[in-house]
Amino acid sequence: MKLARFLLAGLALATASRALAATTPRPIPGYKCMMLDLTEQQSMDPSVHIQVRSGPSNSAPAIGWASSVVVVKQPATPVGGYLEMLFSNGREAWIAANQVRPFKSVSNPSAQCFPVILSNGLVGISSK
Amino acid sequence: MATGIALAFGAAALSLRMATVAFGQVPATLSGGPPVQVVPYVTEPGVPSITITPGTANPFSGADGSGGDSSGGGTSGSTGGNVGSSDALSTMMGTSWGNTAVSNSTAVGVNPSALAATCVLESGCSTPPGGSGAQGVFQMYPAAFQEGLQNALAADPSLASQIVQGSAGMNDPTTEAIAASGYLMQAAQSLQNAGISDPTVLQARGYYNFGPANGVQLATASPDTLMSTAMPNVSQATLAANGVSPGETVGQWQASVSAKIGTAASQSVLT
Repeated sequence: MKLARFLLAGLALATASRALAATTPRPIPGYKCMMLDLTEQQSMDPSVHIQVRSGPSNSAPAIGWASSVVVVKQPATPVGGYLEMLFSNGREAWIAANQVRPFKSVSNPSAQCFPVILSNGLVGISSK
Repeated sequence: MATGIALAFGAAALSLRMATVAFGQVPATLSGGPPVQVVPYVTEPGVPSITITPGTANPFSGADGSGGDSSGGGTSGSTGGNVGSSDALSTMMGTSWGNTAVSNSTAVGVNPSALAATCVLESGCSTPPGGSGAQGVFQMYPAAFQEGLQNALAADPSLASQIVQGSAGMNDPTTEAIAASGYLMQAAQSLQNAGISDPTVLQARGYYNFGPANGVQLATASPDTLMSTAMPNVSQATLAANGVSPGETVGQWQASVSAKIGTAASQSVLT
């Protein structure tokens, strides 16, 4: 009887674990976190918008504004002064190389950052 | 044994379902304004005179805001919950300017509960002491105030007649509510561009509180992400000034915001 209870508990736990695994963010190989090269004041200024473009040139159409952490393709080799990145909607995009810098949190220099695919399909970040 | 396994599966499925869906409790609302005031015909010595000024009925009393995804978090899905009443809206409707603010936010295309949640979080919808930085019941800085006004007037030019011109407008609740509505609209549109099809009030909160770049990042960060990772340019002093403690995660921050605004958190920003 104890064995049966143990097996049932294990089965329920395994079912729950599979359900949780389906919603766990998945890492994105070949990409890493960089951050916008802004001061604190600039990063919170509603009028400061860093453009993300559809191609590696100033004349390429802007497709949106960059968020504070930029998911950059590795190796980070500029093309025409632009780095290839993933926009949060999953689209490939480009950002001026001089507008990003290596990731290092001002308030927590040891903080980790990993690009992930979120459970809703968006490109996001995680600390684990 | 087979029945036991089926029961175990059933129990596990039920517990998972209960863990992922939570419906907020919505207090009863009055559909016809405040209760009828009792007019005493015999005065009682020592009892102060209390007068209730009848307000306008809550225009959203028919929608109880239930049934939506109560989490409204950055990774809980790309759709907002709904548009309707909330405790926050009731708080804003209790002010002298609340009814006008509801009308104006609707004209801009912003859910009045989203606007109300903002004033609840910023000031409790009461006028805070004046200062040189963020001002008014919506605690807007000049740059956000100007951006918001421009957006709102672009959406509905007729609102210009209600605006108090100059910096005095930041301390006029009606004017600032128009600007806050316009800024919330900009936040929602920016989040939509980032891939969130129907941004919730909770998802837009980071944008209002920490600016465009940090706001979109907070809405697209895993709940286990540290706030210090999602906003790498922001100092510990600024995080602390905004109530964010060292080691706090995005999920914990979202939970603290939700606790303050209740059902409004999972509602859509845009109508």
